[in-house]
Amino acid sequence: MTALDFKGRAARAMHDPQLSAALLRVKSHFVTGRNMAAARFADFETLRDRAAAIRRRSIARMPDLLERFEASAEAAGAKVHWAADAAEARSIALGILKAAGAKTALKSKSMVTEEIELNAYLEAAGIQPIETDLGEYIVQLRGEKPSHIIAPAIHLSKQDVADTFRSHHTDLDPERDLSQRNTLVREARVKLRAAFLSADAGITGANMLVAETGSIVLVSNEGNIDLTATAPRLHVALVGIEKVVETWDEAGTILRVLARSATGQDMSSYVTCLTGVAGEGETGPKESHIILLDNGRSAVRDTDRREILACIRCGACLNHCPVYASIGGHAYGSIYPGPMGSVLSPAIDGLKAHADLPNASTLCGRCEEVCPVRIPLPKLLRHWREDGFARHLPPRGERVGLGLWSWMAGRPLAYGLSQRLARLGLRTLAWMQGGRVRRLPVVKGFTATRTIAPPKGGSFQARWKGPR
Amino acid sequence: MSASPTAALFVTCLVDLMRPEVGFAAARLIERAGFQVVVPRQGCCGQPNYNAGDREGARKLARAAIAALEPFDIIVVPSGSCGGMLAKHYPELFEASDPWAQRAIAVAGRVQELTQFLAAHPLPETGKLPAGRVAYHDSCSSLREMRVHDEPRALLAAHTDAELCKLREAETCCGFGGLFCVKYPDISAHMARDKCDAIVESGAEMVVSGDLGCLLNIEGTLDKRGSAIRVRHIAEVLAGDA
Amino acid sequence: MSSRAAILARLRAQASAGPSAAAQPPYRPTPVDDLGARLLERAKTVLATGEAVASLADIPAAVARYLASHELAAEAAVAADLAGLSWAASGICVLDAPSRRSVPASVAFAPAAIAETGSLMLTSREAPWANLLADTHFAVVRRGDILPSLEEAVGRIGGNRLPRSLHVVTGPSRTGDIEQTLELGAHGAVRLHIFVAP
Repeated sequence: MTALDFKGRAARAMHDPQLSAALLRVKSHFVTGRNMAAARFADFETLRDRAAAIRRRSIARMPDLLERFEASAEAAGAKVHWAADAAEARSIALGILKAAGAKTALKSKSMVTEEIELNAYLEAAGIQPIETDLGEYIVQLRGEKPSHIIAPAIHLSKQDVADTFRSHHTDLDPERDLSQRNTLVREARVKLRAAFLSADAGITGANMLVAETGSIVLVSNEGNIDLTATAPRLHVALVGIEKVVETWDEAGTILRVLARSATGQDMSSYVTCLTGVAGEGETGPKESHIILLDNGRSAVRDTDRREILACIRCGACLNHCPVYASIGGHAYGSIYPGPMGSVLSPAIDGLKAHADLPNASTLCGRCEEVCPVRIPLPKLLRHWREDGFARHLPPRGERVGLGLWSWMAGRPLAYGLSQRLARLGLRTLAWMQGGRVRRLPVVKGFTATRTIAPPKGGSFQARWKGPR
Repeated sequence: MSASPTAALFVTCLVDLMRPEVGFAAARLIERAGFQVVVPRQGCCGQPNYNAGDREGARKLARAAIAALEPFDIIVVPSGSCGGMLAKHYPELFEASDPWAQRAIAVAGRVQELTQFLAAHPLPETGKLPAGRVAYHDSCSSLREMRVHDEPRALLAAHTDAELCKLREAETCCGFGGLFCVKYPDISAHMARDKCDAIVESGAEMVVSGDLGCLLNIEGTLDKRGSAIRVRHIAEVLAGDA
Repeated sequence: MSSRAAILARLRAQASAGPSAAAQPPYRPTPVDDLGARLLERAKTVLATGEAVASLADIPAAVARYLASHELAAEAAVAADLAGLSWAASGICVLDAPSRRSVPASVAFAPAAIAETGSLMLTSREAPWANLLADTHFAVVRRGDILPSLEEAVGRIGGNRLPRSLHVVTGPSRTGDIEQTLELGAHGAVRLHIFVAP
């Protein structure tokens, strides 16, 4: 996926009526759900304060907690691996699967596996990954990427899903009725059930690592994670190093804010907690690996953007973002879209690959207002802009303009002169264009959909004569 | 000389340039609230530079603004956006070791958005001004940085006959975003379109807000559509200029 | 240097990573008198159903009533520790679970439940697949196994060592992946019915 043409992708997305309809559902379902869930809880703001403190404490103590997690997990029989980047994580995962002779691998929805583009890598090596989350399964069949971190197929309609199933489930009656959502859900259930009972390996991500017991915690609503992580003989989890917390008490608080912020549920339908390997008389895999992925996370921890590591991937910032609501997830050119993605993606792939993302925000602050762990996303976006400005990434015209403005707007004479020139310019344009400015030179975009009433008379400061 | 207390008016460069009448309306309101208005020589608060990542440029402008504003105990700003820059971002603008940091914090603590100021310093009763069906647009910075929500509504209720229309997605950004509307005009226009759809649906005859940036965005979009809905700053409405 | 050593060394070298916030007091839900009633009340909000039974012996008839009222076949896989109940007398055909892992209905004890959220806790010690794969999941929980919160349930089940897997199940399986519209029974149970037993 290239990040070179953000504006082009955004423009295309905004001209897609089906996407617009889908994005309206994000507002009506997720936003309403989150508000109602927050209102039902006696003191959600205090719970958020606690969750925020827990995540910051975890980030501050990351090296100690990761070592403790590793020791506990290995004591319980899992094997912990460390991967510096995407390539190393892929290679470790493939090595484990190959050593176990796995040919098929179930997958539950995992943003980290999307981040490292694991599926394509496994397929090239002859291992078939099977996405089991319904939304991921649909986008996998279509050869697409998820467009939302918790609702991967949010950009698609029921009809798209029906068409996808009809063209891929070729063993079924091509004339079957797929007009109902529950028929589609049932068809996927039956298709995937066979895979659950026969696959060699299960690959998951993790929502949290609990250091005190070496456990990984995952949430889902479908129940696919429970099956993915327990039915095959081998389990591999890929997890970002920032996901660690110390205790179950901490994990419990995070779970309480997570589901409420994500889907408006008080608790996700399935919370799956995995510790080590199956012992004598237990159901589950006898072999379990946890791959801890850095991929830019430790580096961002050393910057003024470190708070992004507190993110618990609930998606609330996407759901409440007016830019996401306009352009959807794919336009971002990163598998982490929306405000959290615009902070995290440059940390992973470098700012040059995503130079538009921190800028493509009005900094309206709604994301920060709903973030369950109170990440100051507008501030972090601004820090990326500062980083970009220091590296001369914005276009030359913008940099020169800002430099000129900061020189001029603090000097009364120069400022006054610039105001007079601007007013003269606007009035001249308006006079030429029938009373209002209808076409601005240079910043043509503003007047493509707007007009400007020219200012009347002199500037305020030129006319202000002091107290009357 | 009058014995009335003094308030500095930070008029904002957008008002200074585009809509001086908003500045005069604000000044009249502050006077009616019993204050003597002083307009110190002023330029820009530095927000465009700050939000574009040019922290040094923002500091340059902030130093000039701080020097101009620090003699005053009350600083009134007819904008949540510029008010938010002064009140919320100035304290974080300078390194803690920089002597300007303390001066920035001192100025920040004295900044009030116009409707906050008018809520704390009531205007004398003057009968109800005509306003009609009004949609109030909360600017994002008024709402989230200055925590202004009830004040403009209470002022409209007290001083005008405004009938407030319910605005769908009232807390969603209008798409102005300062330089955003220039750098990402398509996305900005899309957001402005959604906002104007909501305004038209609300049945309002007039949109009122406390931020000129939002108002220019909304007014320009409505005019391009040929809408007759009037767009006014809250200062103009309360001053009887609407 | 291994990646492990490099990552840990880099993290340790970052003095700027900020002071550690204070440990938070654990959250516990407001205490309630009747955990069983709370569990059932919460379970209903997540589209599960449930009832209190006077004794385990009442369960086969209740299962038969439930299946009949939903026009489902009178058959279910039954966990070993409930197999001794009089299933045949209630007209329930007991299915052999291990031979076919997907079953239309399953009846089993849940070793713990969570009143706060109306959740059940299943574990790898009791072979949870039948319950995870069944279309209709009947969960039996003893009053003494209902705990106020998730944290307390993990503590109770964990003891010295946690099972390999804990499955905290809150209502039937669901998905909103098609047009954000809720559909039940994505992969797990389509219907979940809870019996609170003495």
